[in-house]
This record gives sequence, structure tokens and C-alpha cells, in this order.
Amino acid sequence: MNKTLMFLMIFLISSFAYATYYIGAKSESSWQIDPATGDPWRNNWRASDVCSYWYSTMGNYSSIDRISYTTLRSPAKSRYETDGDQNTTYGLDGFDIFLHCGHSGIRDNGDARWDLWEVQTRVVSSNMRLGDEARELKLFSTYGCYQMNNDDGNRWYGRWRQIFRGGLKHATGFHEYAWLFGSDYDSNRQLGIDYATYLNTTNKTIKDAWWDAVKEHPDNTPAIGASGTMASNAQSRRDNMRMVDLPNYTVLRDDDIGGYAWLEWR
Amino acid sequence: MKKAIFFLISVFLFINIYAEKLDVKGQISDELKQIQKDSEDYRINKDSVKLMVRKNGLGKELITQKLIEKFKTGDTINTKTSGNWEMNLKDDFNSVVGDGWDLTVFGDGTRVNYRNWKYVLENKAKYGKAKAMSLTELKTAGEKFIKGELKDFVKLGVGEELVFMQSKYEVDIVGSDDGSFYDETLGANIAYFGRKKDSLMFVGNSSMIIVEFSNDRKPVSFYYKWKDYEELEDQINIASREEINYRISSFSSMNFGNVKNLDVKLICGIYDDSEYVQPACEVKQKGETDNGSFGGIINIIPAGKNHAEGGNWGELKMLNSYGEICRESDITGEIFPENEK
Repeated sequence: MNKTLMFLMIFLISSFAYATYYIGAKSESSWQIDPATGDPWRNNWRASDVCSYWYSTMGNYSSIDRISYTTLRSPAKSRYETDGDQNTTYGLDGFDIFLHCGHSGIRDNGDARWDLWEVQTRVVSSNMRLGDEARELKLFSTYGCYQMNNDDGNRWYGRWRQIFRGGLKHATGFHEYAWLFGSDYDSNRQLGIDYATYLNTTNKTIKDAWWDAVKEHPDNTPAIGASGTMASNAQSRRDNMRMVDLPNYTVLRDDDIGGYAWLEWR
Repeated sequence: MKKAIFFLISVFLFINIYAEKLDVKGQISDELKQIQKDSEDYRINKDSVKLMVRKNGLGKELITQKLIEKFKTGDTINTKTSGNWEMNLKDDFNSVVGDGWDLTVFGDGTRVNYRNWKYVLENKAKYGKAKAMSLTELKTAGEKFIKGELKDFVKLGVGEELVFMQSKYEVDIVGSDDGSFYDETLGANIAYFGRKKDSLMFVGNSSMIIVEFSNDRKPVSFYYKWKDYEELEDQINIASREEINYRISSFSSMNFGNVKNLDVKLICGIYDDSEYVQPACEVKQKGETDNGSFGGIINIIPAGKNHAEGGNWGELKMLNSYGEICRESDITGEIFPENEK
């Protein structure tokens, strides 16, 4: 009897735990001055408007636990890459859903990169493996440029393969430019608010939540991607996954993955 | 042996037949190109503009009801709201979710997003390799939808025109893990529309409509941000081209010396600063801030000699606080080449 009661209690507790999403965000709007030039090593870009309002709006929903929202300053690099992403407060695998807001891009060697505050400090995709530790990150979003670029010869899956092999289920970002207003903070913030609102809209897929949130800038070029056992399975996961489904989709790691599906708004 | 050769030929043919990279990319319309050219040539080719003020919308509750009523049948379009639906009322928006569609009405009912995702999921495979809609086709289909289906919600006032701005396309891409298979398929055709008043374009995303057509060319989604305005007696006199140029150089965020391949696009017109509508130039700058790292920033530059204050307009506040003798570099520490003006 006691064992049955204990089982039921554990079952109930674990059910509640699964109904709650741990979220995190990191962003930066201004960048460290490069002593060599006297200039910021990246031009100011008000990305924090997006992340901060996404993070606060997500907190309005009872299924969300806000774990941390921090800057892109040291030791941010380790929080993204495999040596520290398991940190349960600041590491990307410490969350179910994560939003990065700041400059990003690609490297000549094929890596996707996310620029950090300190001069010449970057996170690179070949050092990332997400979804295999702690909360096992499920959705990784970036409001920044080019990290999902595919123009240089079908290299999208090369850039993201290493990341997805940890078990990450869905990613949203941009294949070319992400735009922000220099001073219209309200419009920038509305992007973050809309993404949170749409993610929490019943039956709305992650794909539609991302596109509907960022489409108001006519020159925005968003993209999304997902892995699957084969290409058609990846396509289905990419198009149908909703925030509420994230824990239910099978975790695919390493050789479980046979294909990728991504989508660009050009 | 023969079987093996046949198999290899089949695989080769399969990959070549289906490994299709789509040559589609959104384009700017001729109308917008002309507006950009006029903005480059004249900035604003008028002496003065009448100040306008926002009118309040009818409210999100009433607009939600009217939209549900309007689109309760899907006989002619695929944007329908029929069947069972549930409504979630929040302070800032109403969210209505039905069988395969969702509708969000924001604020005072002047910002709306609708999407029929079920129709797209059920039908897009049938039209997988459909040809993308051209600029002309998107303009015609978009105008037909707006003037027919959205006419009770998106109203053109005296002297106002709809402006087809550009196309965009959703492209669905799949590939195998080993890179041996790759395919692209058209997912959606998207039309962006803006608004002109007395031949001046609303800038800074002040007023816009987005209509999305699935790959069978049926409308499946719309978004609009569209307020009504009232003209006041006050006139805003237009600043000289030189004054506007100086402000552009002072308040454009990417005027660094270190941005490579800086691309600048300019559209001058009028801007809704959240309270008033007054003359402004939208400056879009993009470029490579370091090898492989990029950024795109939009600044809205005041274009009047005088201004109405009270709205939420960052660049106007900077102009009022620091005057025209200061450059943004002096204000924010950003670097600006001194030989440029």
C-alpha cells in the first residue's frame, strides 16, 4: 500500500515537472571597446529589447519557469559549448527553451557563430552539442543574423549537425539578416512579446510562432530547422511541433538522426 | 551485376530529379523602387505636410467579433473561422483558436494576425513543385484579397493609396544526414503592402498588410497594422535636403568606420510615432560588422523643420535633446568619420 502510494506521488510529481518548461535567455545590445581600435568590436544593436520582453512575457504563463536571463559576458562562452552547457542555472542544457539575442553569423570553415561581449569572443557550432544533459534543451532560438545561412553550398546541416546530435529538437533563427530599430524600442520589444504570445497560443506550431513574430520587418529573412530519423520525419517534426509537444517528441541523438529539414523565408 | 547497375542508375536519376534548388527570392516592387528613387532625389518633395493624429480603434472585442463573423464561411477563401473555437481574453490581446486556425487581435483592434495552418498542412504536398507567384500575380491577388475581404477592417482615407511593396517566399528544404539527398519546395508566396497618404509613404512599419498564399495560390494568412488618422490644422514644414542629410549622418546607428559592405536604403514619407504622424525618412543600413558577422538597423530620421512632441520617437528625442550640431558619436560613443556629413 505504501509502495503504491509512493509510486503515485512520484508519478504525480514527475507529471507536474514535465508540465513546466524551464526557459532562459541571454542578450547584449552594446559591445566591449576593442583597445586596438578604440571602437566597440560590434556595432550597437538593441537585441536586448527582444530577449528581455520575451523573457518577461513568457513568465505570464503558468507552465513557464524562468530560470535565468543574463548578458553575453564571461563566462557565457562555456554556457553554450559542451564544457559548461550542463550548468543548471546558466547553461543552455539547463533550459527546455532558450532565446539568444545579439550579433551572430558564420565562419569561413562552415561553423555558425554567436558573438559574445568580450572582444573577439565567439561561440561556435562545432563546439556545441545541445539536448543531452540536465533539462536537455529542446528549442533553441536566435534573434540575430546569418547563423542558419545556407547560401554557401548546402552547408546548413553541416553548421547545425553537431548541435542537433545532442538531441535538440527544433531551432529558429535567420538565414540572412535580422533587423531591429535603432531607437523604436517599443517595436523591438513587441517582437519578443509576440514570440512569447504565439508560442503559448493553443495549437500554434513553433514554425508559425516564429514567422508570425518576426515577419513585420519586410527584410527579415528567418529560418527554422529540425532533425528526424529521415528527411520526411524531420519535415514532419519541423512543421508540426508545438511548444506543448516538446517533451513528447522522441529524443534523437547521434546515429538516430537520418535527415534534417529546414525552412527559409527568402 | 545488371541489378546493381540498374540500382545505381535509379539512385542517380532519383537524386537528379528531386535534388532541386529553387531559384526564388523576394523582390522589391516597381512602386517601392520609384519611392526609393524619389527619396534619394528629393527626400520629401513638398514644402509642408499637415500634422495627423491617431484615431482610437474600435477595440479588440468588437473587431474580434466582426472578424469571426466575416470569415465564418470559407466558400471563396481559405481563411475561415467556422466550427468550434475558444477565446482567450488578455489585457493586451484576444486570442481565438479554432479547428486549424488562429486569430490574434491586439490592442485597440488595429493590429491583427490570422492564420489557417490546417489548410496548408493538408494541401501543400499536392502542389509541392508549384511555380512561385510573380510580383504582378502577388500584387493582383493581394489587392483583390484586401479590397474584397478586408475592406471593413482596412480602410483607405481621403488621399490614401495601397502600395504593393515586395514579395517573399517560404521555401521548404530537406536533406539526408550524409548530404546525399537535398530538395527544395515552394511553401508559400507572401505579399507585403504599405500605405501612402497624399503621395507620401508611411515609413517605419507604421502601417502595413501582409497576405500569405499557400503554394496552391489560395490566401491562408493575413496580418495588418492599420489605424485611422485625422488631419489637424497644424502644418509641419519640411526641412531642407541638406538638413535632413545632416540628421541622417548624425542619427543613423551604423555610421561606423568599421562596417564592411555597408548598404543603405532610404524611404522618406510620414511616420506614426505612436501619437502623431509627421514627416520622416526611414534609413535602413546593413553590413558586415566583422568577417562573417552581420547586422541590420533601421533609424527613423525626423524630416520636419518643426515637430509635434509627445509621441515615442527616439531619434526625435535625440534631436531635441542634443540639437543638430551633435552627431550620434558624441552622444553614444559610437565612431563616425569626421569627413562625412
